[in-house]
Amino acid sequence: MARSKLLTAAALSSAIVLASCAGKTVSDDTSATSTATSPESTTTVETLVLETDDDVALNLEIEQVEPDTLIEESDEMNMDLVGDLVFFDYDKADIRAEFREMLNTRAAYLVANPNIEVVLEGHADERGTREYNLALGERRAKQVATYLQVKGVSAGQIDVVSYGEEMPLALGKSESDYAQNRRVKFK
Amino acid sequence: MNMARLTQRLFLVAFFLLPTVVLADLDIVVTKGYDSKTKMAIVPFFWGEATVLPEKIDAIMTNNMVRTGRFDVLPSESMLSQPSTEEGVFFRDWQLLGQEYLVIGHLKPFADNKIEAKVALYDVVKNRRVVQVTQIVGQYQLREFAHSLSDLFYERITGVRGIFSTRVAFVTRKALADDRYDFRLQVADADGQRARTVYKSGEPIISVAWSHDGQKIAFANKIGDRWKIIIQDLKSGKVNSISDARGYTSSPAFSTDGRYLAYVSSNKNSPEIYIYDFQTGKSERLTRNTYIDTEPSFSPDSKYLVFTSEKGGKPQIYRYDLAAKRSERLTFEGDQNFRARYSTDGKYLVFVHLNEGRFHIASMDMASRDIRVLTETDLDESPSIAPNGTMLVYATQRGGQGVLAWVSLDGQVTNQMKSDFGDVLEPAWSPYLN
Repeated sequence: MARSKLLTAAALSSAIVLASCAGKTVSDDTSATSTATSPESTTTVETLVLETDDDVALNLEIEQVEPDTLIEESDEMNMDLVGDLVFFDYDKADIRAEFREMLNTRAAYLVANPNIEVVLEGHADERGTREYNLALGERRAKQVATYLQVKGVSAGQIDVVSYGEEMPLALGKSESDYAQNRRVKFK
Repeated sequence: MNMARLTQRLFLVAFFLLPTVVLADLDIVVTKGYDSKTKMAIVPFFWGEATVLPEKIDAIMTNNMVRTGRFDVLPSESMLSQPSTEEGVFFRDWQLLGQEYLVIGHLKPFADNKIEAKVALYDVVKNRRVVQVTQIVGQYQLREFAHSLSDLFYERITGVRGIFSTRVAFVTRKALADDRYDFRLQVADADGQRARTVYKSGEPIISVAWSHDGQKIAFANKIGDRWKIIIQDLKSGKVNSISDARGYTSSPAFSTDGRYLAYVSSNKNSPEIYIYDFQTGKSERLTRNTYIDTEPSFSPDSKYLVFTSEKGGKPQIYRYDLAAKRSERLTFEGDQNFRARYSTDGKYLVFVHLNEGRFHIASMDMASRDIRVLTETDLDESPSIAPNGTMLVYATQRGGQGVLAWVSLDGQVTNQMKSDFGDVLEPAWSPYLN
């Protein structure tokens, strides 16, 4: 289940990147008038592309897999990694002992399924500057990636992206809110 | 060594430049000021027509002066007379009211729906006219005109160039349904009015930086699984981006001459500082270690870069000598220090200072290296100094919401600005724009 979604998402996002690099180059003399005519449609384009990303992936899953097989497979051997969370101490990126067993299971699964790719999203709490937290979020995601690689997962199966402090899970200011926000999420 | 890819694009990202649309209404509260203020009377300007003008110049000027914390402006109901021409000015009346300066203005219709304005500033103590301005202005230039007058009068009174015609860029973040957010880069007048959206994204925008000619704004935007540096030309709307094949690119800062852009890339594993040369299209890597190096910013003479590094164990501010290719640690006080920015004259740094668990804005005198904590709020970040060096704008929180706040470099005056548009983040004060 995770597989088809992730692969499709990856294919789509690389298509977006290609389109953005190749198609839209403009000359230096572009006037303000021509740019002013386009904003509405471009907003829609960008937003829609990002939405389509998920929608298409979900549709494809439904087309590819019969409901019965889907249930059976996920019970037996398909591990849905999406949404799994690893939490961290303040200003730290060390993997706490309590998450090792979970990560070992994930690693074994990825080793057994070399076609499956994961994206590790790194997050930070709001304390500290946004740039520092962007770096810290990436360090956490890379720490999880390194752990998985030590356990034999191929580097090519893993991508990391940091969100810094920009997408908190908990909006409060207590230590327990902050603890929820210092995380790496499997996507 | 060309590691970064500079991509030119225009229509991929949303772009707006609609000068008349107000998207964020920002309300400014002066929370603290100087004890001894200059006393000033701004007489409501005369306008003899039945039509109502779109802006009240005298009211805008009054707000400007009050917001500096240095002026006490006399309420119009306390005035003994309300002259609009020099014949009506009796210095004794204003001296009786304890005033030091007086502003009067006379507006009358001109051809093409324009207005002829005659405005004067008087020194009441010395019984003389300081300066008089006669100007033909369009009805929709009245706000700019009020800011220009404020700049001129402020400079004549204080000897320091005014910043009322400058702008502040910032990011707004509004939560939508289903964990989605609306991020916007906006540019407003220095008083927070007339905020206009110049860039819009469903994903985070951080690290807003102006070019020194005021023509471009650079910032970082998460696009898919990468962070790209976007450089937007404000007049044409043309957008360039810098990104690497791996990791993130962020934290852009222009050199004073506009030739270079310092930035951060984690392409080679840990975040390192690079300099992109717009002329050659090449990037040079400056730092090389396994620690976080980030938040570079050029000194006004572009000989140095200040940046944040945790190579000493915790994040502290360092200064990199671009000729000697060596860095020196600048901050030793407080638990952590981040994101330094120079004042325009290079005499001060302002930065984020963590002490006893609270994040404040502090300044450092570059001659003595003395640190002074300027703010009393918490979770303060993104300090940016006005081009005349009197005030800085920063981001803080009030009632759980991100707001902008101002503080004078001597810590005496503070203002806050709230938005109906959600959180206001990452402010950056523009250079002088004219």
